[in-house]
Amino acid sequence: MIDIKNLSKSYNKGKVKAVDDLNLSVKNGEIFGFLGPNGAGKTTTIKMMVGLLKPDSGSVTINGHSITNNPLAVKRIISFVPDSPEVYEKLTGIEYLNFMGDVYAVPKEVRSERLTYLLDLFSLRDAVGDLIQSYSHGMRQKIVLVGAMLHKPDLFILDEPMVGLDPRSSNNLKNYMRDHCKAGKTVFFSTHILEVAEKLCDRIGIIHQGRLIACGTMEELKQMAANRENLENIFLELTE
Amino acid sequence: MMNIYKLTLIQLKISLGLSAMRWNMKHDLKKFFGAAGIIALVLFSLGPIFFLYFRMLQGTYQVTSELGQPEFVLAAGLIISTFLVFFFGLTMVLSVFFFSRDLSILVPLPLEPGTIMGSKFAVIIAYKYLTIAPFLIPAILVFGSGSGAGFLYWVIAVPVFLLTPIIPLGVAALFILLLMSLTNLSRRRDTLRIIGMVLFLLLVLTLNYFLTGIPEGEEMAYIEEMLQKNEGLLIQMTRIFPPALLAVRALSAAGAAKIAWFAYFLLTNIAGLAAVYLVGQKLFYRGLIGGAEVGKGKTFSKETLTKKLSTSSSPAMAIALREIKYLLRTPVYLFNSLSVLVIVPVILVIPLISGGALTNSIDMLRDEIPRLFQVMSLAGFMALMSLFAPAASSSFSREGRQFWVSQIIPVRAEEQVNGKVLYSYLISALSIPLVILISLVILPLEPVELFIVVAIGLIASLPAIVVSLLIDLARPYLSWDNPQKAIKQNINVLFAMLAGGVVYALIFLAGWLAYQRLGSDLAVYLVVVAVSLAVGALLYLFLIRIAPNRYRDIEV
Repeated sequence: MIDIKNLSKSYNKGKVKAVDDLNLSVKNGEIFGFLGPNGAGKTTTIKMMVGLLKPDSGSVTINGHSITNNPLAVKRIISFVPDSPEVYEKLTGIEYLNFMGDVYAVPKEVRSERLTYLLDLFSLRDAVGDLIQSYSHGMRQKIVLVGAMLHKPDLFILDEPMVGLDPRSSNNLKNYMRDHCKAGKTVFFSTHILEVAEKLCDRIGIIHQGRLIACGTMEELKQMAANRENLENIFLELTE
Repeated sequence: MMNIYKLTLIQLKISLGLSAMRWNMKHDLKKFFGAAGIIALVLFSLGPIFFLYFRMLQGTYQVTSELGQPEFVLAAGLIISTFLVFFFGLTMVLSVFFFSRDLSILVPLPLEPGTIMGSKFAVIIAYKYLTIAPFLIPAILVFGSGSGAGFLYWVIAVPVFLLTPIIPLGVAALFILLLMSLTNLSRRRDTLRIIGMVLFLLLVLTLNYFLTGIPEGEEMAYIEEMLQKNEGLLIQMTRIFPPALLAVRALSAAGAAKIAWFAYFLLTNIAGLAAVYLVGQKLFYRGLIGGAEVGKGKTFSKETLTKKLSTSSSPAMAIALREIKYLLRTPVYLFNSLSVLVIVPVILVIPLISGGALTNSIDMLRDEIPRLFQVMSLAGFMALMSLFAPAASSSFSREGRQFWVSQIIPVRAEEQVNGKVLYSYLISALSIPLVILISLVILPLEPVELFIVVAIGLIASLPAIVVSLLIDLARPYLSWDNPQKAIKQNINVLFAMLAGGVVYALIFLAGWLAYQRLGSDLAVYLVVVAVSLAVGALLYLFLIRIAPNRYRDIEV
């Protein structure tokens, strides 16, 4: 589903390498967790995957389509939820969701059925008629999530999706991600919550100083570290 | 006091981008020179206009000197500056005081409300110096050099310049503080605020008209007296804003009187500042706290939810609708884009109701000016309204940090641009009722002529809309921290007006040549339509061509 080859991005005229020759593949039906310390290059990588940043070199191919050469084909099959939910404050929740439904061409009947389910899943039904301006951080995160789930994307890309969510919503999101993958679709997300990554992900990648320093299943990661007790120890050891 | 000073310094660093500029100078010269280049380009583009203004002031100085009233030039510079500060200050105060992103950081700090508001007021004053400099400095220079002013004149001119924006901005701030605190608890507060601001502007304009108007029936005698009476012109002109009279006298009087007038002017400004601070201390938080809260709507049942679901005919329409909703719900955008549509009719109607010299001028206009010119002027007015309403020239910038949504949705950049063209056209179309009103009140047109006006006006709006979108897309300003910056402090709006001015000069020239060579009204109409369409289409094709790459390359 995702094929990243020799991806690089630097800032300050090459002085700061945010992503350095990154290679990564994610298969259909996988939940892939992307971990790394602050400033390791997670968000930069994700932004290049969804077309928000132009790579200096390398390629991102999603389901056979290059994000650089055929961005529209990629965008039709993915959804992206950013780390900070900057969203149209002057629209009501339902207006935002209608807008997302329009641009992803979700038919009205399908929209009705999915929204009823998703709004209840994230307890947003009471707030959907209000301006997003009045939403808390968590509610904004949830409305962006619902907007992103509306067209049932083949690939769901999330940057720190659990931040700001209450425990119930966080649990519901994890269940949704699992169900999504059971249906043959793919989830790629970054997180600092190692416990979530450990329990939820089929495979995990660890990025440090722009380079992918480890990638594999939990079992495979355990082989790479001396202290194999849990993901936290492995992470700390590898990113030291 | 120390807090205001420190906070103001920080605010200036952020607002004017001083820290970013210093960082760029050290680490990213390309960006630094890019910004410097833009400033140079603005100065260069505006240069000819201000040269003309300077020459006009020199001419006016000559004429008014012969009448024994040379200080008229100073009064004119001061009144223009005052009006600009007041008019543009209203929305800026609203936006900077109440909708800045940093308020959520500042309010919890152990600072007095007056301190936070005072520092914001100081930042707006700094911006206003940039606004008034091109109008006031030439007036000071022309009067100073023309009258052979001494050292003291130039010394006093500096604080006079620095004090000039304080009272007009203070009046705007007092009004906004009052309006915000009165409407903050209302569910319909945004609507009430827009209505309040428009009514206030209308009140000021009406007051101006009646204070500086010339009595009906005695026009000649009145003007004669004004010209002959000592300081007649000056007193007439500063009647709307008396502090300007103090400033003029501080600059034009001689000896000790100069110092005394300056002291009055200074004291007036200190009193103004004190009033703003004290009122701010009381009302600032009353207007601010809770301002972002929105009344709770009803819970949607499954049936209501289904009813509320709507589908747009196309993504372009969905984009246009999103833009319209945003405009209607953001007072700063709404006021900047549409206030002119309310104010212009009132400016037209007040003199007509009160009669007087203007009515005669309009009669003359109606009878003497060829019909072709009347029709084309109205069509030109519509086109200029499209150019001056910043709907298109800030279209991408207004998306701000939310531009990522436009970048990730699976809608072709071309289609998104079409949505913005559609939205801009809808805003332009709002001038149609205005044109109909003008044709009813001032220039009675035949229905066919009215149709021609509207058709040419809309067609000629295309180049203005497209060139504005093109400029904003080339370099959108997305990192603004209050909505005012996206629309009023956005250099793209100015560039779009300049570029649009060049395009319209071309279209005018083509129409004029057709008039000279072919002599028929129809030929002029056709040539203007053809040139507008051709220029508009070329620019549109270019816009569509660059859009995909721009949507890909812009980094929020």
